[in-house]
Formats: sequence, C-alpha cells, structure tokens
Amino acid sequence: MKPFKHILFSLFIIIILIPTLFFPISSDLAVFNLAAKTILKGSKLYVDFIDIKTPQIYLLNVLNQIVFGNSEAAFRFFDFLWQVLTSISIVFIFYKINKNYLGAYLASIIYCLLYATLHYSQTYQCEGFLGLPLLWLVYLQIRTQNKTLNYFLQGFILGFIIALKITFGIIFLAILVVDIINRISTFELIRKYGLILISSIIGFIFFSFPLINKQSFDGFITMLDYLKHYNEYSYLTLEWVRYSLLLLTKYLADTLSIFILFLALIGVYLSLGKNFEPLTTQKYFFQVVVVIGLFLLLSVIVERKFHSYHFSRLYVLIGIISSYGSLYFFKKIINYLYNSNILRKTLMILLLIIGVFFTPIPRYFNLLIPTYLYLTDSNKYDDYYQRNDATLLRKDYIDISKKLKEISNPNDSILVISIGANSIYYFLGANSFSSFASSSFYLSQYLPEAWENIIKREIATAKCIIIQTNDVHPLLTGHPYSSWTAFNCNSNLKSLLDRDFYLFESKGPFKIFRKKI
Amino acid sequence: MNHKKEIILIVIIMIILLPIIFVPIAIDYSHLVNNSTIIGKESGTYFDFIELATPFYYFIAFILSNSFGTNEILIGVLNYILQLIIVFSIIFILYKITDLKLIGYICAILYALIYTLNWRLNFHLDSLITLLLVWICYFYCRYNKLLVLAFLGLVIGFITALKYPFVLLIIPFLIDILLDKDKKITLRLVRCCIIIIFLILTLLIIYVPLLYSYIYEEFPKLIKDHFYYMGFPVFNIDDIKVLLKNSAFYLGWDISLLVILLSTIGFFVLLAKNHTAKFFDLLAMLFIITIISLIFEKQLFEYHIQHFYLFFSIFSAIGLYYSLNKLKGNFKSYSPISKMILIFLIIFALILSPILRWFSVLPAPVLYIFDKNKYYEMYIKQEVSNRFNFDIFKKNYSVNKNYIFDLLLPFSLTDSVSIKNISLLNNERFYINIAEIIE
Repeated sequence: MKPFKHILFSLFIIIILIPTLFFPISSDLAVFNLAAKTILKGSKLYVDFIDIKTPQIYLLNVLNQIVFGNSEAAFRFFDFLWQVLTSISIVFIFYKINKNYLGAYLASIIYCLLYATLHYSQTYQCEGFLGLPLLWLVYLQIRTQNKTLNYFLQGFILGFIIALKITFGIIFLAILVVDIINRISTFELIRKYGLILISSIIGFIFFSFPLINKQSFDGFITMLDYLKHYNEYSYLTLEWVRYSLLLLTKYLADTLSIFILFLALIGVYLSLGKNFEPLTTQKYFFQVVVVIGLFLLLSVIVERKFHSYHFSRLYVLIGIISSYGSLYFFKKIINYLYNSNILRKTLMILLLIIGVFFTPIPRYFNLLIPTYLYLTDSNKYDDYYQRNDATLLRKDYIDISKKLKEISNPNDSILVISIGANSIYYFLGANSFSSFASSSFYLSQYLPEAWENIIKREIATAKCIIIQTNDVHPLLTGHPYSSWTAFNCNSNLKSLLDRDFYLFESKGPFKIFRKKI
Repeated sequence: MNHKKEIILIVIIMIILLPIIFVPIAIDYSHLVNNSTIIGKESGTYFDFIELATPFYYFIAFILSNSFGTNEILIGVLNYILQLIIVFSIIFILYKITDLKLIGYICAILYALIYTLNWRLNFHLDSLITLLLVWICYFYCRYNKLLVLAFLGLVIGFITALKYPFVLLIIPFLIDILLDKDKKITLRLVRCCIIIIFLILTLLIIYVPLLYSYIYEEFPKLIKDHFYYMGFPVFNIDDIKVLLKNSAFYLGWDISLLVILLSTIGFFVLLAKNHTAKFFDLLAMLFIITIISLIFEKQLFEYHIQHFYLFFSIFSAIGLYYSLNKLKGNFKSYSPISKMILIFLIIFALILSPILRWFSVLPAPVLYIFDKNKYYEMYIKQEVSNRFNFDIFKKNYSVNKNYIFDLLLPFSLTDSVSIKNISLLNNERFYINIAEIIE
C-alpha cells in the first residue's frame, strides 16, 4: 500500500473518532474525576470516597489529570488518544499477522465507528480501556519468540486488565482453553500459565496499589460486600431472562447494528476453518480472537447488566472478526455483481443500501450534531444534552452549580443526593464533595452501618444539600423510588434534614436545601 | 423425506400455532368487528365508527364476523385455520419451486413461530396479503397465460383495496414483463395493460360500498383526514432516528435476529445463483417494494412488520438450509477448537431465535382452560398493563362487547348505538377531530 493511502486511512480513522472529543462529562466520568481528586489530595479510596469500581480506572484518571488537567476537554482528549492508540494497534497487529492492509484498516474503522457511536455516557468506561492491552495480549500469545519474557509480559498485561475489572479475568480462562484444546504439552502448559499467573498477580497489585493501604483494603472489602447485594437486585427469574433477552436484542439490533452482527457472524463462521487460508499463525490468531470474544460475552452475562458499554469490551475483537467477514462478504458480492443480470444487480445494490441503514453509520451522523453545536453555540450544545429525564440534565447541573456558587463559599461542604448527578460537583469545581459516588449506596435496600454513619456526618456538616426527585433506578437500588422518596423513607436522615435545613429552591427535578442559620 | 417425517413436522407446526387460539383478540380486529356490526344498519361506517382502514377491510370483517360470530375462541380457531392454510401453501409452493420438501417445512416452522410470538397482531387481515402474493407469484411463474395476468391484476386490486400503498406491488410484475426479451415489445405492453385494467376494474367493483349513502357522504372526509394524517410525522431528523431505532428493534425482536441474519444469507444465496427460479426474483422485488411502500407511509408500527413475515420466513429457510448444508459438509474437518466455537455459535443462535420466546406464549392455552383469572393477569402483566385498565379489559374482553377506552378518551362513549370509536387514541389531533364531529 502506498504511503499516501496510509495517511488517508489514518486520517479517516482519526476523523471518525473526532466527535468523541466533544462528548460532555457523564455521570460515571464525574465519579472517576472525584475519585482521582481523592487520590491526588492524599485521601483514601473506599474510605474517603466510595464507589464500586476497582482502583485502576481512577488511576487512569489521575494520570489524565496530571498530564492534561481537570476539564471535560482534557478527559475526552485522554480517551481520544487512547482510542487512537487502540486503532493504530489494530492496524499494526492485524497487518503483522495477516499481511492485509485493507482488512487491518477495515477492522480499525469498524472499531472506531462502534466506539464513537456508543456516545457520551457509554464511553470512558473500563471496557473502553480494555481494547489496547487486550490486543497486545493476543499478539504476545501468538508470538513464539523469547518465551519467558513473553509469558511474563502477557501476565503483566493481564494484571492490568483484571485491575480494570475483575470479571475481565475470564480472558485467562479463554487463552488457557485455547492452549488445552491445541494440546500444548503438560510441562509447557504449567510453565506458561504458572508464569502468567504470577506476573498477572504482580501486575494486578501494581495497578491497584491504593489497596495496599489497610483502611482502603477494609473499605474495599465492605464495598465488595455491598456489591454482593447490589448484584442480587437483578434476580434470576423467568421475567429477568425475558427482560435480558429483550435488552440483548435491543443492543445487538440497534447499538451494535444488524449489519455488523451479520459481518461478525460470517467472521466467526470463517474462523471455523474450512474457508480460511490455512496459514497457522493467521488461523491461531483468528481463533484466539474468537474464543476470547465468546468468553467475554459470557462475562457480560455473568455480570447480568446489559448497558451498551458492557458489550464494548468486545469491540476490538468484533472489529477484527467483522473485518474478516467484510473481506469475504464484499469479495463475494463484487463477484456476484459482475456475473449477474441487471435485475439482480439492482436488487443487490438496493439491499446493500437498505443494509447501510442498519449499520452504525446513521448513528454516527447523528453524533455530528452535538459536535457542530459545541463548535458554534455552547447554549444549544447544553440544550442538546438536557432531555428532562433522570440522567440527561446538563443545563440543570450548570444552573444549579451557578446558584450554589452564589450562595456558598468555595470551601463549604455541598452534598448532592442523587444516583447520577455528580457532574454538579464538576461544574462547581468543588474541593469538598460527598464520600459516596452515588446515593444508591446509602439509599438502597442494603446499607452497611459504617456508611450510614458517614452519610449522617455529611448531612450534619453540609451547607447545602441537593436532592434529585426523579432518579429511579431499581437495578442499582433494589427499589422503585427516587433519591428524594427513598431519603424521606429513612426517618433518621429525614429528621436531620427537617431539623437543620430549609427548602431554598427547586430547579427541574432537583430540590436545593440550605442550612438554617 | 418420508411420510412419517412429514407427519411429525406437520404436527410440530400445528402445535407451534396452537396458542393463537387462546391468546387475546387483537385490538385492530376488535375495531373491525365493532365496525362491521354497524354495516347494514341505519348508521354507517366512517360516521358512527371512525377508523382509517379502507372500506373493503370492514366488509371482509363483516363477512367473517357474520359467518363465525364473535366468540373469542371461535375467532381463534378461524385464525388458526387461516394460518394453517398459509403454512401449507408455503410448504406446497416451495416444494414445487425448489423440489425440496425440507425448505418448505423449515419455512413453515419459522413462519408459525414468528406469527405465534406476535399475538398482539392476531388476525390482522394484513397476513392475507402475503399469502395472496406468494400464490400469485407462483401462478405467474408457473403458468405463462393471459388469464393469470388478469388474475394478477385482480389480486393486486384486492390487496390495494386493503392497503392503498400496496398498489406499488404491481411494479415487480411489470418490470419482469418489460424485461422479457423473448417477447415483442407490443406484446409486453399488452400484458402490462391487462394487469392494470384488471386492477382498476377490481378496485371499482370493491368500492361499490361507497354507493351506500352514509359511506358516500363520510368517506371523502376520511380521505381528507387521511391526507392530513399522511403529513405526520413531518420526517425530520428526530423522526428518522425513531424510525431507524424502531425498525431495528422490531426486526430483532418481533421477527428475531436469527431469522433476519439467516434471511440476509438466503437473500444473497438466491441472488448469487444464476439458475435460481424467477419466483425468488419476484419475491425479492416484492420484498424491496414493500420496504419502499413503508417509506412512503413514513411510519412504522408493529403491524407493518407483519407484511414481512412470509418474506423473512422464505429467505431465512433458504439461508438456514444453505448454512446447515455447509456446516454439515465441513463438520468432520473441523478442529476441536472449531467445534467448541460452533457449539457456542449454536447456543447463541438459539438465544437469538424465536424458539425460546415461543415458550412464553405456551401458558395461554393451559391458563385459559383451567384458570381464567390467572390468564387475564398474565396478559395484563405482559402487554396490556400500560394501555388498559384491568376491569375494562375484563368487562369488554369478548369482541361482542365494545372496546371503549374510557381511560384514554376524554368523554364516555359507551352507548352502542352512537359509538364514536377511534383507533389512534393517543393522538391529540384525533381528540380535536372527534370533538368537531360531535359538535
């Protein structure tokens, strides 16, 4: 391929990712930001700031804040760079293995399209950071040179991956299964996986170092205990199975898109072997990718949550698999087009045109609207992300933070009681914030005693309290009530509010309380 | 395929379809029956009962409701028989076209599964349309006679009388005739004219009910309203977004992702093979034209997807047959790891297939017979809770009572003589219209 074409393709990939630069801060990103602030000011994770994620994602945000600063643009730029690196890695590794630039760029383009169309709330998640290390892990798995170093590196990368999310540890099982089925000798198997296991533990500890602190570790254990209850909120009933099937279908048909699913399934079919070029490295690479993909799909089912970002852990692999599928499919189609009559040509072209509507492409064009608004009219941009539901309330967050700036001092303690309105802290530029990433931790069915004491203390010391009235989220809380209703059901907390605070103002679904003088 | 296997497959198909006898009657059908009961009385269609469907639609319902009554189980049985006719037609036609019995049976099973799952559209007369289309394609391909062309015009006229945008379905046949290089151009044009003339004649005959005074007076108002209605949605970016989202979801959920994926395979397999029968070319064209007719309508509701049941069943049967043959031929040569991937793939395919969801319809017959209350509760829970009040649903369950949605209409219209029923209850514009009519 000529250098000019490389530049063109690379530019194309970057252009696809550009809209992600203009995504606003999401609820989860605001939490990561607060956790990073906690680490940077020397406070303890899981004690001074409680959330259900492992420390790795917060550490990435610390790196982000140190290098690029603390702003929406900085967060998104960090994510953009990470995704560009991931895309370059796809091209590099795909080409190294298959010697096919077209396939390599196709895989990268499909990945970028899928990632960008996840939109703002589903990007900058642990899953989004998985692709890059996973690719290199697969690449090392294929390489046969310098085995000891190779195994150690594989383990270290696996440690990084598991530190992102514990359930990603299933990748270890996937590569083990591939090697067992491929009948590696027992001695080699023990040596390889012994080394990988040891180095992955080292990697995990290295990338989870905040847990070395005893208090943080105890807090982490309390959080795991809470997590056990949190997972029980999605019961394994027939109704749940039906609902999960519905969500899975919705995701596959709409977010992933029917056409990409079709191409990916062709890719998986090709990986079975018959129609695939019999080059061992290629075949091995392809099968490792498919098997890891299948195991990661299982991990989504194990987690029992079906947000789009949960599936994005598969995107790098889907990119590669559907690239194989695309190469095969379009080669066949071009062949058919040459050899068929005008009627059939027309029918095929019409069906392909209809197929385009079932790809992420139309959704990608939809992303260009906020990008355009960001660059031309910030008010309209804020309006775009204000949808008057429970989670998309950018304008309200900005207005409330402005109001709070007027009525409080920078060092005053502000308490936001909401499942997902942490962005208020971001817009406020607050140095002092709640110890809880979400109100669901103390307003759900299960409340550890230590956490109850913390929230009581926070209410007692707060100057202003903001409570959301429409953030109903049964899968997080285990009940069908908003923060406001659940708060009023807790007589201990309610009495503190009634005693010390008065309703200052209502803004959208938020109630702002101010301390009585 | 031996007779024993065929009997087993037929029994399976009959069992798959069985729950449709016991599921609640679709809202649209109850509208039709309500309206058809008015026909022949002093009041009239479009005056005492306002609906957007064509007059012919009501006359079919009139014939059906007068022949079979309004007993819910009897209507279920009638629907069951109609669906069996459709599946046996598929089996027969596909066998005649492909010389393979298995493809017909696969198609029939897939159709039966999809139809049973979407019981909310039970007895929607639109399911007649695809049946007619498949038969007419078969006759058209099989018998190259002028009489068939006249019959084709008649059938398309009949379909158009049910749904106006379906007049477009004539296009594939005209294209096929015009592209037929074996015949002189004048003969080709004559053949086209025969179809068009018979289409127009059929429409004229079918619209005889317009001579009925009430309908004659009220129908133009409906047409006016229809044009107003066609202006919605305006088709801005938000509408397109919703349309794309809904279509992906309806295809994935109502038809099922597996069937869609297999259909795509089937579609390309058929088009790729030069020796494929003309029947499939026509079917592919009709499929695309149906999509185009939907784009003209600018709206997408669940019942629109029903027009595609047969298309998807046929294409996916071809796709499944082709895929199974490929896998069967290659299976022995697969490595252990490939076999493991294949097992995963099959499990995943089953999850995305309509088979699992079919079991959710299964309790209907049992509960209907043994515990009516639980039966009502189940349907209220599953589908009806956000649209109906349980008591109203229970009270008006049988179609010989009127479906009056007190919850949604701003005024009570329970008097059966002066029913001002309406189908698009949540449409604000209709409240205004109905208020104007009453004034």
